Amino acid sequence: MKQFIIRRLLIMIPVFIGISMIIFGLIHSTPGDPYITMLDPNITEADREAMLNSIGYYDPLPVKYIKWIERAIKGDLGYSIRYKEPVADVISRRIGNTLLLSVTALVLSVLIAVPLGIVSATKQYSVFDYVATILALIGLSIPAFFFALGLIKVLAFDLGIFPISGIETTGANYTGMKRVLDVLHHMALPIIVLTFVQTASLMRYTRSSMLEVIQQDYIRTAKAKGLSERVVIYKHALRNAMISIVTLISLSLGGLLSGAVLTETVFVWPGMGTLVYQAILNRDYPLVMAGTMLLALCVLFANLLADIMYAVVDPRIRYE
Amino acid sequence: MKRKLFSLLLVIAMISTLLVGCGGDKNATNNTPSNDAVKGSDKSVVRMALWSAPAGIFNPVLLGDDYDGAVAGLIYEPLVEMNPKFEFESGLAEKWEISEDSKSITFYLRKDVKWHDGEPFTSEDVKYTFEFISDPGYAGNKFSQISAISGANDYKEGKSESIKGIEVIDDHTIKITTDEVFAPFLDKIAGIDVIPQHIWSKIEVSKALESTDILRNPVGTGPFKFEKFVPDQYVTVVKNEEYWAGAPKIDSIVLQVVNQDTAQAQMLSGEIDFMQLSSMNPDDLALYEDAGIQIQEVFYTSFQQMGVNVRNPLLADKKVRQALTYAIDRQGIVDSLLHGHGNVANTTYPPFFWSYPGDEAINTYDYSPEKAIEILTKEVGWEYKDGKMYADGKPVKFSLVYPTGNKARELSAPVIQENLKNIGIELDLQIMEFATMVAKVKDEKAFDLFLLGSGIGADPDVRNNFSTEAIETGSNYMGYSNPELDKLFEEGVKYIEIEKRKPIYFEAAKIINEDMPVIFLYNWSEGRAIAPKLKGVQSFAFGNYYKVNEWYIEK
Repeated sequence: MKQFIIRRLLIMIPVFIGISMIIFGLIHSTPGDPYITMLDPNITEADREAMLNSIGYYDPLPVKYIKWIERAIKGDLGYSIRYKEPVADVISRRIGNTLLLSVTALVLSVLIAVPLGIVSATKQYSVFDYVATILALIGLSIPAFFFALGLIKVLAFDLGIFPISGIETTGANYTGMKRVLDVLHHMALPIIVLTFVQTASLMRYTRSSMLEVIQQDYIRTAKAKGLSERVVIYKHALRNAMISIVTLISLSLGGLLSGAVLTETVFVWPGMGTLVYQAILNRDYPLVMAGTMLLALCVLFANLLADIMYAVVDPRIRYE
Repeated sequence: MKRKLFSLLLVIAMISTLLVGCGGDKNATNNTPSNDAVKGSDKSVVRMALWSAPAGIFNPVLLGDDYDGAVAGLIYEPLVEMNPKFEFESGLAEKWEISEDSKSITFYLRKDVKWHDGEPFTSEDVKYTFEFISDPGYAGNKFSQISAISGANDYKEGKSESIKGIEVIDDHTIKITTDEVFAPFLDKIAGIDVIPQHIWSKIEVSKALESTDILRNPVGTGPFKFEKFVPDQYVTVVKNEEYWAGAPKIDSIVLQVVNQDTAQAQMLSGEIDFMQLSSMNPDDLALYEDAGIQIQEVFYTSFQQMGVNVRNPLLADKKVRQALTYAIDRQGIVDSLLHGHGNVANTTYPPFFWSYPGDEAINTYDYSPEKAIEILTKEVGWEYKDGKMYADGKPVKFSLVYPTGNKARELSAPVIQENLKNIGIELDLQIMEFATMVAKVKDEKAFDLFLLGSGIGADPDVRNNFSTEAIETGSNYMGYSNPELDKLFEEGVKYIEIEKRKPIYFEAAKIINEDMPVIFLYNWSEGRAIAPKLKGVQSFAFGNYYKVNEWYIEK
């Protein structure tokens, strides 16, 4: 196992370099330069040229790439063109906010979806199953964006229970417990949106995976042995059903940083998704580069984790 | 082996950034200052909506986007300020004198002004501001605005120790001289926000953009003092008790990032007190009205245009461009897409601006497809049969590129397509993301027609749009050139006095109206939504903060 992990980590290195080359090439081949979207349309060509020169815009692509990677290895991801501060600082301020949302939503949706899915499967075609299925269908088909706006309209605007947007009350400067409560208050709506959407797919997945296992021969054997329904379901069936569920959850970790772009945008949540999106629009090359590499890294590790988890939950799988 | 090691290091670098990132965030959360909680107290706070987060470059001569500008505008001030009537009023300069030959202006500065940190404001600060902008290491975009000052170019090239045209007479008097008469002197040079010498001279100008600490703790002379910047979320400014024109009546202003989709709800629920409206949809306006929200309509000196690539032989003839103008139902666009909040544009100046020659002096190209067809067939020599237009036997077809982002502009493209179809011309619509589109038009010149906004700012000098020189160096993407117009443009900037400039620009406006290097579509107005309780706001095209110190909250 140890060997497997080391081998996989080593394979990740060339993959990672490959990804960095592709992303770098793609970003720099998009038309437009960073100063085109900035304020002053009357800026003279000479000034613009000077600025572009100063950021190395006219270097040949391989030179730019080597310059970038040289610095990146030293831990220097460069200066954001728009924010004029080190990219690492820009990203570090957002990443916690995004994780706060996405991790909470993921945990909640696992806690809700897995039990719901199991009950749905064991009581197939019951009223409970139908209600859960309909809700899941709604969750799968409703666009997160629309759902978020609907929630804002009803819960925030009409009823005034939650704030409309932001991560905290602006200008209030709360500290300590008050601040925690304030942030929780602001988190509620985005969390509802993210959790609802993720729960829907995860629940459907758990249900079908459970159903498949329940129909297998060994379950019938277990029942024939006279084991109680509970033991059959939770001890024998669930363990096998979990194999695919765990994989799905591990893989979804890859989307922790990038999965909430729309939700972040609607709620003006200062996270990674909006940051990278804005950076692309602004042609903020160093920021886009670091941001997307981070997202790529996240996906790579999620894949590795999925493979490891596979071995952990499924005794038949052994990596030698 | 070496390569592997190299790559391993890269991965480690990435991971450590990630870890450092998470750690850093915790720190930032913990050290929030707890001084005066604004909400819940009886302090008067005004909350203004920003559509996007400020980048944090709060230096008025370095910043590069509107949102940083919205913050800096409350903190810094220029020597003279433009008022909502487009006239100049005293700012940091109490009065000024224009010399006989119009080449220099002496500014008499206010003596009672202090920087927010208590240091006195003097002529040295003004001098320093211009030196800062002319420094070889300066990375902002204001130099073109002040390059007319005598010796500014020498200073920029390192040929002199000081700018020849700037003369400090005493602590509160400064004389600025230009080589040639510079028409927009008051707007461009005296309109620059002054920065404090005692703070910025501590660092090299070339390092200014990296001095995050100074950039994010701006010290100005304006009505509001900077208090707090939370990246991606909001900026707070508090009133300057010692403001020379009288301390502001509101205690603080919070500029916060708001999503345009939810902004209306926030405005109606009172979470936001001031915002710019992106559309003047009558249904929306009615909603605001019901809630008692005030709407101020602001007219812009900008226009939307359909640029024409005159390098295309089919479009080189001005008759064709005139015919296209007749063919487009521009009044219809104003009525339907702008809901009447704007007007048809026929030249580069809007009807309310002083360089507009008057409706009777120009051709208004009233919508008439018949006339368009007549011009094209009789005067240009194209052929119109079975509802299709043919030039030299080939059907006429153009491509129209336009950017996403401005809704009315986006929607006007299919209208134009439909209009031109009525005169038998086929239009191929290509919508694309803004930067991509500009690159296509500007660098590749791969287009027949394009839609873009443009504007004159506060001065009628439009050389950057329509002069021959601007084909290479400015935004004359059309490739349009008219020597007569070039001459007028040169003449127009030789005077500072409006009365002397008027006839020149009237003439220029007429030529542009006749040549139609771009097909002028419309000028538009935008609304400002202002909370019922907030009084005293006077928004206009060049600012929302006119006399912001006199804003007050009605109890």
